[in-house]
Amino acid sequence: MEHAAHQAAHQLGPVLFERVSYLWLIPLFPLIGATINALFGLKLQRAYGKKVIHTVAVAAMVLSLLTALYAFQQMLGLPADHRFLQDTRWNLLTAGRVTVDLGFALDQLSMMMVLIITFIGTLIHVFSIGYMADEQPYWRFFAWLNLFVFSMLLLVMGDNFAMMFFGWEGVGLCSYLLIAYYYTDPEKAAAGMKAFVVNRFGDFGFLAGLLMLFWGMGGAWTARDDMRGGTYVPLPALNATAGATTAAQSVALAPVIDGVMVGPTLNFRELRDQIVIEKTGVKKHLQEQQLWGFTLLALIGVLLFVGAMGKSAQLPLYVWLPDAMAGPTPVSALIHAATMVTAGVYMVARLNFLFALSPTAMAWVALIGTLTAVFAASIGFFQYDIKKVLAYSTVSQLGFMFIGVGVGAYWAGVYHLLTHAFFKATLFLGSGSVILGCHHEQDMRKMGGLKKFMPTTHWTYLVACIAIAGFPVANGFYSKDEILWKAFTSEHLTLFGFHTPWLGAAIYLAGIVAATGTSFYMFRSYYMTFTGEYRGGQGHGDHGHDDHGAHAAPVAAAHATAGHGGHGHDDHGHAAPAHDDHGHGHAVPAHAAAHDDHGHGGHHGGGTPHESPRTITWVLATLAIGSVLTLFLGLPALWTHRPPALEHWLEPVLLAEVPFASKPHSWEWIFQGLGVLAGTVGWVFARWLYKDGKSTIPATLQKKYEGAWTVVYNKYYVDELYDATVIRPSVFLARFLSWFDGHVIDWLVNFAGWITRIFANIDGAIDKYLVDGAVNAVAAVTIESGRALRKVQTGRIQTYLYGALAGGLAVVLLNFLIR
Amino acid sequence: MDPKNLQVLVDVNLKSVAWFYPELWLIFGSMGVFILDLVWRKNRGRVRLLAGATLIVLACSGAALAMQPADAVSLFNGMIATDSFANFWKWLFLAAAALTVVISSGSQEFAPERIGEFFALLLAITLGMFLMASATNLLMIYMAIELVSMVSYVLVGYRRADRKAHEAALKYVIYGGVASGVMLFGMSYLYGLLGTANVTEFAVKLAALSQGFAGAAPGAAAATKLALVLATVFVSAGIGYKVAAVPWHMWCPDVYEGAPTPFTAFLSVGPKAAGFALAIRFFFGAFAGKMGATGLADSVAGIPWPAVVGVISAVTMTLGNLVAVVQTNLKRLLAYSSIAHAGYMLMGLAAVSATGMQSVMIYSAIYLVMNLGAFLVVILVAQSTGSESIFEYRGLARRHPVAAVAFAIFLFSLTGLPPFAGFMGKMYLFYALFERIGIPGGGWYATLALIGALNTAVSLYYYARIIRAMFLDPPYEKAAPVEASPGGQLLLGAFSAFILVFGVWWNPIVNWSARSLQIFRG
Repeated sequence: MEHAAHQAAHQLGPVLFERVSYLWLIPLFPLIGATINALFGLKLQRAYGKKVIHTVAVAAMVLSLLTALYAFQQMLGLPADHRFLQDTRWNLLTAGRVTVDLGFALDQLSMMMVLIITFIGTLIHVFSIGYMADEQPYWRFFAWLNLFVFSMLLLVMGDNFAMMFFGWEGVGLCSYLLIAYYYTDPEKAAAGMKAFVVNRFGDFGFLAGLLMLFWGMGGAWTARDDMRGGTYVPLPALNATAGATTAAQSVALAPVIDGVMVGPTLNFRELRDQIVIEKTGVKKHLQEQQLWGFTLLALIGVLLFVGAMGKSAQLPLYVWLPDAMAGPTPVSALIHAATMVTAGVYMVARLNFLFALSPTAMAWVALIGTLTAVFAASIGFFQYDIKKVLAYSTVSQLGFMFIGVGVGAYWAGVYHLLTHAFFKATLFLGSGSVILGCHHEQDMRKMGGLKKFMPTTHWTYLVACIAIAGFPVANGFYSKDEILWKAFTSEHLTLFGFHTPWLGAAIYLAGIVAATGTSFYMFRSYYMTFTGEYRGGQGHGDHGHDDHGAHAAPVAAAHATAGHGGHGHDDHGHAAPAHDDHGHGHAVPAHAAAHDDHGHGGHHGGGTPHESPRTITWVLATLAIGSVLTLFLGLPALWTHRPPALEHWLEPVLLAEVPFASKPHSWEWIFQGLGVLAGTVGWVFARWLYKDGKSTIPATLQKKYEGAWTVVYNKYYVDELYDATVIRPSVFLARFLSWFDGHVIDWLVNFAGWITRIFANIDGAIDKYLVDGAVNAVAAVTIESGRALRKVQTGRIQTYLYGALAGGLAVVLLNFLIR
Repeated sequence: MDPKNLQVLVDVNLKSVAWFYPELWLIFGSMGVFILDLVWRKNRGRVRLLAGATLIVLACSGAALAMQPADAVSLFNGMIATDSFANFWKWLFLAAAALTVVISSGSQEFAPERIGEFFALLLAITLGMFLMASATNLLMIYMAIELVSMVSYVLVGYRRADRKAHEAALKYVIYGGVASGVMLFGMSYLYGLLGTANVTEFAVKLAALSQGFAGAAPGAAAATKLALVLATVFVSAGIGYKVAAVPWHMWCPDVYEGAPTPFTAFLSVGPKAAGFALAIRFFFGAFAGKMGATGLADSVAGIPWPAVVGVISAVTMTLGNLVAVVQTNLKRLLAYSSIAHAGYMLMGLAAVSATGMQSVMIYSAIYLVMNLGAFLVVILVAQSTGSESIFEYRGLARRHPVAAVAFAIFLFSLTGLPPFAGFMGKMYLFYALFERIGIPGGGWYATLALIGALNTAVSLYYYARIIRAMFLDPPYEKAAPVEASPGGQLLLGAFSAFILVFGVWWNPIVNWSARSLQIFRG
């Protein structure tokens, strides 16, 4: 730790920021799009077709992207330490001294996230035009997709915890809505529910961590001896707890140290300033606090990380993500690969100044990340559902990101987030294209040989595979290598209060194993899908006649079934024009709506695979090119002798000082070589076992190790474990509580209700009969009896006055009874 | 009297007129509307013309209010004061009056031949409320309350042929008369004890009086205190009857039921708000010390009035809510609900702090909109079905979705659920109590807050009952179709938009009320 103290010698100042007034437009556009499609989508779709729907949604995304680019351009024009755009709209809440603003902030980190979200988001919206063309509730899909982008932008752009939490819950909701998009299918609806429920566990941790952080900082805001020049200032004089009615008043009341407001805050920038500038004493105060024998900072870090575990699908809360593949594929690409699931990583990186204070919390983050990376990769080995493979791969890659932010290589974790967003989006959209091409078939055993039918999809998928496997020609290598190298050189991690310098090396070892596995299962999916012969069509071709429009299709399918590779090839030549027609039908999005019944897939009818429309292939190509080009953001310092572009860009944000051991350059070269070797080993094995689907070794091996295979194939029975330990007891408890509710509580409630009603009735009766009766009597007497009953009338009024007067006198008495 | 002194008094009066233009507009405007009523006797479009004229008068009064110098000054030799506090309320009253004019011009409860007098008298009530918000002299307080009450008696009995209206008006007169008498009696005691009728001088005189307790014989001190408390409570009886707080609430349901519905709506927001304005000025100005930097103040002369107000608040909201539970007539239900809301607002009064004061102001502003909105739906439904029974609301969501959704918004807001403006209003009321809980001797505020919270839950029951009827219950087979004029729908939309917008963006109201906390204290 001396090391750290030495490094942190230079003092950090408060964040300098630039006030702007247009940032709120970035999330506003998708919100408007979502609102239009949600409220009027059905009517618009009926009146003008699907074109209007996706025009609105895509236009919203493009406008959002353009605004984000404008912000980026403005940011580039500012000096590096001044790149912080702040846009405070209005005060949402002032309670006591805490103020919550509807405020948006962009620093280098959130700028990067916003660009990823809007850029990849726009591409995926475009992709969805072709992919979702056949879905009837088209408007619902685009409304929710836009709403998701809005929530995600709130999450990354909100300048305080409240806004972030709003976005955090918002993306959870949209995720739920989109996973359960086909809600008529009970299994898919259940998958949505599962995602929602599992995320609740995570959110509970997140919220608990937040509250604990706030509680822990509370002490720093009240009187202490060592603050404010060493003199003890009594509590009332500090105005630390006095309420404020407006935000401005709250700011005015807070003590200021070195230009930094020290007071209750939920704002990230203010929080960072208070913690980073040591003179405020907040950091010291936080480090000194203990709770239940743990340092408070470790508890806060671990609890916040539990939130990240839920959202970013880490062990043991990852179970929802594979099931989430029930949603449409663009959703899987956007939400469950590129953006939402990385929210946890983003959160840890955003709070790096906090996590860096607790080596224990960081060690847990890294450890869980490592376990997840290895565990999920191994499940990926034997999955047959192409989307499931990608899902487990995502879980595994998220693990890598957490290794990065856990060991303190924040920029590397964030860089992997970026590279992963590109190559995983490519993979998912590629798989979507494959699924569409194979007529909604997701089982890789029924694919094969698709590279002939779907050239663009094939090439883009291959590029993304190379990227994820970690070959230096694409971006994945650079981020993964940096993460593993930093993991190996990290020495400061602490577990259970013990310093564990060996943990870094252990993480490296596990990481390289996971990287080998990654390469293996990704190339396995590639070979199973794209090489060999097309294995689909069995059992499809027969009834393909009935409902399939293209006559060539069953012929080709029949040939493929028969295994006449050569002849099949010729026939495909004939079949091609027919498929080109399909292509045209999709390629002009304007016509997509009119082609609802053109039988492109025969839906489940079968036939040969075909390349997807241009809205899909262009998106794939763009993303694949992006997967390559983004490598230039992370060229290692070893090669260029200057820090990687992204590291340099993010430096002002990710300022937490974490010590790393310095090793000779030769080591770094060797480790890069090892990374490539891992990728190669995985690739070679995959090629050997799965290329062209010829090898029988996989089947033999499977037979030989039937037991182990079954366990892994069934995902280590984790779902069953959850079922036995969590779900069934919960259901039992729920049943019991339901019984309790039905028999005991209801009775109590009814009893209480009965009593309340009696009282209310008595009250009502008093009002009706006594008061009204009296007054009615007075009125009746006055009007009907007239002069003759003057005496009675006087008497009655006296009686009646008692009501008001007795009450008044009771109040007088009350004045003497109290105190 | 010395002629020289007399000259000074006259001068002061003449100078005061500069701050009195809004009220002058109302006075002459009211007379003008009476004359126009006669001029346009045969005119077919007289309802629109008269409504337009009334709105112009209100607008002119508002313009005069906006142009008024902002400084706090005492006018007419200490009779009234104008300050930012009074101006806040005056804006509310103008808004309430203007909205009532709009609502009633579309209502069938007013015959076109007689609507002119309604508008003219409404302006007179508005004048009375203006004076209530700024009166600083006991006599002026009495005059202002009487002005509001007298005109109210007339307007409650507006429907000449309706026996219910007669009954309501008569009850109102009796209650009002008793309350005024009691208040006047209390005022005479106060004047006798303190030697002044000027409320702004009370705090000083009370301090002197309580100093005198120490030296006096034990019996004399106790007698003086008893007289003081008695007098104060009697004066509060007059105010309490205006805001319909228990035990001076009994007139409320009958009067609300008997009065023409637009006027009921006005009664539930206008005079009630004026009562709170007066209560704050009377109690905070005369019976509380100055607020410190913390915004908290204490009662003077050892009278535990904050606690007493707290008890009244608790009893008022509990009774209002409990009785509302068994109501089936919507007008009566809203009457009891308005009693309950008076109870909630009394919480802010009991807090005796800047926040407390602010919270009452915020809540009054929001209550104005949500309650007028609720009454507007009742008016629309009653015009189509001829009844105010809850059974007429069955299946309203299908019969008239706009009205049903708007009503649901108003009811949720009245309950105090987010994201509706009512939530934010209640939040500030409760927050005023929470601020007090930590202060020594403030433990009972926690109890009050708990009672308030429980009451909110009870209120959800009867509000939700209406919502259930509208959205879940099927309509009766022979249910009359509900129709609403485009203007009425527009108004509903505007009210709903207000509730929704200020449910998330409440800065303007909060800032405005924070700027309006300045009370003239002499």
